Amino acid sequence: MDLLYLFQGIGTLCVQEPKIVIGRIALVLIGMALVFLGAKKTLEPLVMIPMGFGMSAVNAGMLFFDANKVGNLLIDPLVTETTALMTILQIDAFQPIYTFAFSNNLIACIVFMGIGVISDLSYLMAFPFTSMLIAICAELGTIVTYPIAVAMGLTPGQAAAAAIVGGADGPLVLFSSLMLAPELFVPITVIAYLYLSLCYGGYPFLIRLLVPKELRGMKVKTTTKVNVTSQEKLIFSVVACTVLCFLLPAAAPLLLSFFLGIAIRESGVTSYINMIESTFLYAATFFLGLMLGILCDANTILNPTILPLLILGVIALGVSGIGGIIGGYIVYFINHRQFNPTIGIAGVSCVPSTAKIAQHEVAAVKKSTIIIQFAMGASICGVLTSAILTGIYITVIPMLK
Amino acid sequence: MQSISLALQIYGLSFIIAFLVAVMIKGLLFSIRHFSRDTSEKQ
Repeated sequence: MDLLYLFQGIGTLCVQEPKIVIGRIALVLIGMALVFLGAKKTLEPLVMIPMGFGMSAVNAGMLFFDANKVGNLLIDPLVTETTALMTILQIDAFQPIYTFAFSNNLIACIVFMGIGVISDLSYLMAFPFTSMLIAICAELGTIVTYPIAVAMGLTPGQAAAAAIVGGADGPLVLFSSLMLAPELFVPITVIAYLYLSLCYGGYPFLIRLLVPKELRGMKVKTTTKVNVTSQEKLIFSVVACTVLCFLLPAAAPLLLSFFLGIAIRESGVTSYINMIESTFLYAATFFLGLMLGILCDANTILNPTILPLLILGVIALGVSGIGGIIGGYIVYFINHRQFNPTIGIAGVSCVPSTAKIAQHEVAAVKKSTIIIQFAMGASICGVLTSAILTGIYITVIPMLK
Repeated sequence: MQSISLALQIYGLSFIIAFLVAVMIKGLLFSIRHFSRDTSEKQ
């Protein structure tokens, strides 16, 4: 009996190109590392643990199909033909989740609805100009990365999808890459989620580098009272959703999901809130992580554009972080030095991670300083500005063709 | 050069929309509070 044919996961390693073999082994090890780092909470565990498992399993579980073709029984991300899809749906175990929830952006919309349910608009509505100014400055990476990506040889669609990593919002990256560069959505989305997970480690250094210790510990002095009622937030969510859908219909699914989440939170329907927050959001995040991992098979991920994407991801998130802190400084000077510029980092979105990072860095200097509420306002505003920019990119880029 | 110009235009447009959303928030809050005060005064 041919042992290599019996144990096909190993057998396929012997017939594939050396580049793919090295890629598969590396991805198995990276998958294991992601699970370990997720469990240790160095990386975001909610996404990284299922993603790591999926990544290891898909690269280990390769087998021979007809005519020595190598594949797996988990998923085929690139199938487009209807008849082939019907066959594959019956063979590949996770294909139905991918086809009916992932590739049509349903998961992105559910995660966005969940973000809406956990978002409190009080500080955004009490300080709309401050929050918007910080959030729009924190989109700098999204703008700077686009021409750099084009100069590196990416098509406008691919460049825009890579640039949206700077918006620091996973569902938006998934949504835009599927719309603008479906051929690259796997590497772009995987890189985006990996880098977003690394924000926990990188942004504190950026804050310490750009904001002096005496400014980091300062309290925000304001005379404005934050007394926004649930009714006011509910009305805003309906009006803003309608107006933004009129302006940017390309981003309507995401806008609807986000504002619907907010409306459900503010309407106080506990059963809906629990259903979306406890069930939908966690289920969608789990399957999102798992799908991202399963999509990381060596044949798909070893795309020649992966290196530029790795560089562009760092540029996008780094420049957005710097832009956010610049926004924090602008508000600091406008408010006669009564504002903590550290809050600027929260404008990068990535709710609630960046707001927590800002609070952590401030508390490390002065424990009694609480800025989390202002940071959450800027962070939620970051989600909105990222959605606006994504909507503009998705509308404008196809016009260039 | 064309891509830089496009990126700047997109940034400008998003800045305007974000500013409009901020104005809309202020306008909505003002109207809601104004009309709810009117209603409570009449009662």
